[in-house]
This record gives sequence, structure tokens and C-alpha cells, in this order.
Amino acid sequence: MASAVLLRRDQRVPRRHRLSRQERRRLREGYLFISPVLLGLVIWVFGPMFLSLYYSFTSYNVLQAPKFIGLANYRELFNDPEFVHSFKITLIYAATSVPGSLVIGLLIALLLNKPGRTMRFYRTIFYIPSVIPVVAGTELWGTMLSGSKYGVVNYILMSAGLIKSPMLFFSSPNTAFWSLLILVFWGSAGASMIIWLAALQSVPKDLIEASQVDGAGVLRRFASVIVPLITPTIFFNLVLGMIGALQTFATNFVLGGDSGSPLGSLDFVNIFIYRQAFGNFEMGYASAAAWVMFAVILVLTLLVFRTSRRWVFYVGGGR
Amino acid sequence: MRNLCSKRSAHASLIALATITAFIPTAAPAGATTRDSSLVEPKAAKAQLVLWQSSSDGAPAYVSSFEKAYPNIKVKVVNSATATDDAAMVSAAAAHRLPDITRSADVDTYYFASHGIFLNLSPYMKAYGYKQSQFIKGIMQLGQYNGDQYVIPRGFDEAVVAYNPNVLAMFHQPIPKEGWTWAQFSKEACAINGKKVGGKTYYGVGTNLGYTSYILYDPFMVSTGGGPMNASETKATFDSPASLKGLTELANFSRSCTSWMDNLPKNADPFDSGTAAFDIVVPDQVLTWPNSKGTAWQTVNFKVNIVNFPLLSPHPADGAGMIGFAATIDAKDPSAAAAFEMWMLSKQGEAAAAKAEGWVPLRLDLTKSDDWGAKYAFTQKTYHYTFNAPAFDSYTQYIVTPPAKLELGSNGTAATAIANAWTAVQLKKETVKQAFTAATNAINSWLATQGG
Repeated sequence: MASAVLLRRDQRVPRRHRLSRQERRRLREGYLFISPVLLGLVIWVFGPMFLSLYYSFTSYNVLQAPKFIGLANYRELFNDPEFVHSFKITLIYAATSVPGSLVIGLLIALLLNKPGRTMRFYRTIFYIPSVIPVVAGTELWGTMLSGSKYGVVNYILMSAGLIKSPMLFFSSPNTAFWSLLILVFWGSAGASMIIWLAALQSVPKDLIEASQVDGAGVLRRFASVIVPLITPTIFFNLVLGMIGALQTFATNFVLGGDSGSPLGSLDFVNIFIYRQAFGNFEMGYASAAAWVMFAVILVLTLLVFRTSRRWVFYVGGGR
Repeated sequence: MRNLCSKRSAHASLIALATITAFIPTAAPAGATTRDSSLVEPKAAKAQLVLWQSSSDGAPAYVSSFEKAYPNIKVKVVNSATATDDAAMVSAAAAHRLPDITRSADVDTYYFASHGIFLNLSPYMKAYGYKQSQFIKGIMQLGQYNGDQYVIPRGFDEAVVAYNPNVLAMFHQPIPKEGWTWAQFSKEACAINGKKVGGKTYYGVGTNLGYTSYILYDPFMVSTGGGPMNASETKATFDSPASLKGLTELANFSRSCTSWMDNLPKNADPFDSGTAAFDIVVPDQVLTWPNSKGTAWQTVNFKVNIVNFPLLSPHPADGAGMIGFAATIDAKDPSAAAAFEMWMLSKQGEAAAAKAEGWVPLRLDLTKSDDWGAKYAFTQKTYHYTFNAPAFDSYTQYIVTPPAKLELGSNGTAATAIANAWTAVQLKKETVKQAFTAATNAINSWLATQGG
């Protein structure tokens, strides 16, 4: 019986193909051509990654040799109120900014999903924020939403008599987070709109027409025909948006510096990591925080991938 | 025979003298008395030093004076962005790529000294015969760690008050004079703050100098008998009754007499737009603002005057910042690098640097105001302000500086805790006591992890 099983397994294994001299040469050439990328990946991506994994188990201030301390950095992290706070607000940010950006981008795409020159003009207008450098865009919104009466928005609102005293926006811990969301929606809607537009235009017209013939209204058509057909795009935007949101750094750094001010309201995990690494020069501690965040992003991404089998539909019936 | 002997003796003496002279630097630093030759003499017969400065520094102007005094040592001045970037400096130190001498600011002293990046210059100061008592104590302290000197200050700035005579006249307030008191300043500022004329709100003081700057709040704590740390420098004491008294005084003054409550961080300073009577600044800002396009005082259309920061009572105190030079652990010839540092403290060195950059000398035996006033002559004429340099000099005896250990000028834990405390007070989320007690606890927790 055992030999029969072995025989069957042997039969399943394809015979090893012996490469000709020319094939071997071409294989070598192929490896040679991709070697710069492989080397780059090993030296500049995997190398630092695994080095930081090692540092996360050490006390390392750059100037002295790393000292192995086991899991102490990780233990300290979970007891560090600063990290817990950063972690919490980063998750809240991801949970609000990602769906918000997706919905706003989709709404704009739905409005602009029509032929005509005017639509092309508006698409360009809505896409412009995406090509403005993050720092420039953030500085612009920092001035617009300045918490003094000299801020552009406050000045307009006060001049119009709509408010008596200036709104604090980025100057108050109560409003800085929500002001950041305005900035993020403005900056990200254009990029997601382009992807949504591509998805909407790939929805077969005959399906839309068939649903119209069947008497489906606008909402019904959107919910039962369009949404299922654009689920691969929702999936794509969701995964990329979530990873991007959990790695937010530049906007918060420009607005609140490395302390995530005011009062730590913009102190996301990457700002925390930066502060530990380049403010306190605690590279081991910063590396541990980075690996915790990596693990969280990985788990959440896998979770989305796992659930996608239930809600993402590919043309041709695949899931 | 006697004549011959005396001639021989004279010749021998002359030869001996010439030999000794050949081994002594051509211009010995003033103040040098007893010397440890192993520290004083550069090891190499000829040395080449590399000095990193910021592009806005003027080291080349006085480096040539040093090279004349020490012909065997050449200094190559390099404008380096690394010198003003802590992270880049740490990377350079880790890679052993630091220059022999680097520019450093007061905020960096603790980190770089405590991590062994800077050379301890105290033995050299002793070997060159310098005593701390020869220099302005508060400024020298900004370059010290654990009582030793690591950074030789090249120049410093004290807080001063700028005033707009037009606004003072509008509200019938007297023009301030040197020697004015804090009570007079408060009275004038509070009398103007919040008043409206022609639809415009006028303020007593435009808040430009950040409340997170220790140059401002540290003197207030010291004036009421408090301070940022206990005497043994083991714990932060922002929450002590005496410290809280000073901090509360600053907070109350800021609320009632300045634009602090109306103009949160990152806002335009009303002083620049002519709607505030006073502004608290450091003279370096006075010097550099008009020289960089688009910055505050280039666009003012009124005459700005400067007067000393009124001394606080009951203990007079004043705040200041410092920029200096440090010799690094990567110096190829430490004694040559130290020779430059020590020359900076000499009469010639201080005079040359003061002339080149207009900095106030550290030496107490030098007339300070001459170079200082000369430097300001250009900007005073061009940008409409006057400055009483001799009075400014006289305030150096009141300069107070916080312990380097707290790193209050950096972006570390202590500085962040204090910045958060001021924000909480400004936003009325917490009282001064609550905010600074929380900050003290945070700082002490951090100090505990630092082994202190």
C-alpha cells in the first residue's frame, strides 16, 4: 500500500527538465538583469528591516553598540501612555479617514462620470490637490485654518458675521484632529476619484440598461449593479488607504511638529517613532514601535484580504 | 675674562630665549598663566583643522586672526547643514565623520557632551590658565555639562523689549527708559491690551517669543526663588510653590497684557502689523529678521525701538541663548582643536569674533558695547530702531540658565512636556498648577529612565 502511494506521488511529480546550455545561459542572463533590483531589495529594504528587528530587542542610541535587552522595549511600549495614546488616535484616524476618503472620492466620481469637455475640466480641478506636494498643501491649510482671527477661514466667517470669536481649528486638541480630516479629504479625494472613475467606466452599459428595463431606480441600480461590479476597486482603495492612513507622518509633522501638538492630538504612531528615534535617539525603542505597527498593519491587511472573498466580485464570477 | 663670560652668557641667554620662543605660539592667548604643555601644544608640527559652521555664521572673518596667532594651524571652514541638524550630527558621530570643531548651540550641549561626542575642554581651560570667573557665568553655563565646559560660547542673545512709539503715543503711555521696572512694563502693556481704535484691536505685547522658550519662563521661576530643578539636579521642580508662583505671574501677565489668548501658535505677531505696543525678542532676531526676505521687520513702516527687558523682582533675572564651538572626539589633533577653542576665549579671539559678527564678548574685562553697537549701526539706520548697547551689556550679571540635563531647548521629553503645559494653560484646559505638576511628573519619569 505504501509503495503504491509512493508510486502515485512519484507519478505526480513532473520529471526534472534538464536545461540545455543555451537555456542555462539565458537563465544566467535573466538573473543578471534582475540582480540590481534583487541587490537593491536586499541591501536597502530587507537589510534595514531585519536590522531594525534586531535593534528592537536592544538598547541602541546610535553612538554606542546596541545592547541586547530581549523583549524589554516591547514590554515598555505597551505600558507607555504616550504610545498607547498614539496607537489609539492612529486607529481612530484610519477608521474615519479611509471610509471618508473613499465615499467622498466615489461621490465626486459619480458626479463626474459623464462625457463632455466640462467634465474633463472638473476632473482636472478635483485632481489638482493630489499633485500638490504634501508639505505645501499642509502649510496652505495651516494658514487657511489658523486658529486666530487672522486665519483665512476665520477672517471670512467673522467678516460675514457668522462667528463672533475665531474657531481654533489646528490650535486646539479638540478640533485639530477633525481639521486634519478636512485636509486629508481635500488631498486624497482627487487620487481616489480617478480610480473610481476608471472603475465606473468599466461597468458594462448593457447591465445598467438591463436593470433600467427591469425598473430599477437610481439607488437600486447603484446598490445592486454598480457597487458589486466595482468591489475590486473598493478592495484596492481600502487596502492602500488603510496602509497609508496607518503610516501618516508628513501632514502631522508639518502641523504639529515632533510632539504632535496641540497636546498630542496629532501624535500618531509614526510621529511617536520619529520622536523616539531622532528626538530621544532611542533607536531600539523606536524600532520596536515600528515593528508593532508593522504587525498591526499586516494583520489588518490580511483580515481585509480574508473577508474580501465574501464581498469582492470579479467579472467572470471569481471571488 | 669677565667681559667674555658675560658676552658668552648673554649669547647663550639669547640663543636659549630664541629657542624657547620658537616653541611658543607667536601670540599667546591673553589670560594664559600656568600651562600644562601636553595640553597646550598641538601634537603635530603642522595641523589642519576642519570647522563646521552654519552658512549664516561668519567664522572665516576671525579664523584668519587665529591663523596669524597660530601659523602652524590652518582652519578650513565648511558651511555644513549637518552642524545644525541633531540627527545628522549623531549619524556623523556614529560614522566617525565629525570635523575637528563644530558649531553648537546651547540646546545641544547636554546630548553631545553626555554622549561623549564633544571633548571636555575644562582641562584645557585650566592648562591655558583661564578661570570661569573671567567670563559671564550664565552664558558659560550654557556650554557646560556636569560642571565641565564642552562648548565655548562665541556669542549670546539676551531677551529685550521692542516697542512701537506710535502705539504708546496713541494710548498716552510713556516711552520706556533704561532701568524701567517690570511693574511699569506690565502697567503700560495692560493699559493698552484689548483696546479698540478705528475697528482695530490693539495689544500690550505681541507674542512672538514662544512661551515654550526657556529664555522667557526660566527667569520668572528664578525671580520668585524657584527653578526648573532641585539643587542636586536630580528632579524637576516646576511644581514647587516658588516655581509655580513665577509661572503663574507670567501666565497672568500673558493673559491680561498680551495677544497670547487671541493669537495661538503659528499666527502673525500683531507687533509686526503695528497693533501691539511691545514685543519680547532676542537681539539676534533683531539682527537677522531684516536681512532675510519676507520676515517680520522688513515690512514694518514704523520706528522700532529696543529697550532692556525689565528685570523681574524680587530676584532680578534675565534669559539668554548661546551659539558656540565645540571640539569633537574625531579631532585628529585634539590639542590643536583645543588651541582654537582657547583662542576664542582670549582677548584677541573675542575681539575678532565680536568685530566680525557683532557678538557681545564673554570676557568681563572687555568693553562690549563698542563692537556690538557698530554691528547694529547698519540695521539701526536701515530699519528704524535704536538700541542701547551699554545698558544691554550691564544686564549680563542677571542672566540665568536652566540645567543642561533637562534639554529644554531640544525636542525631547522635557521640552515637549513644558510645551504641552503652556498649551494647556493657554487653552484654559488646566490651571498653571495642574499643567506644570503634570509636566513635572512626566519629566521626572523620564529622568528616572535616564539614570538621573
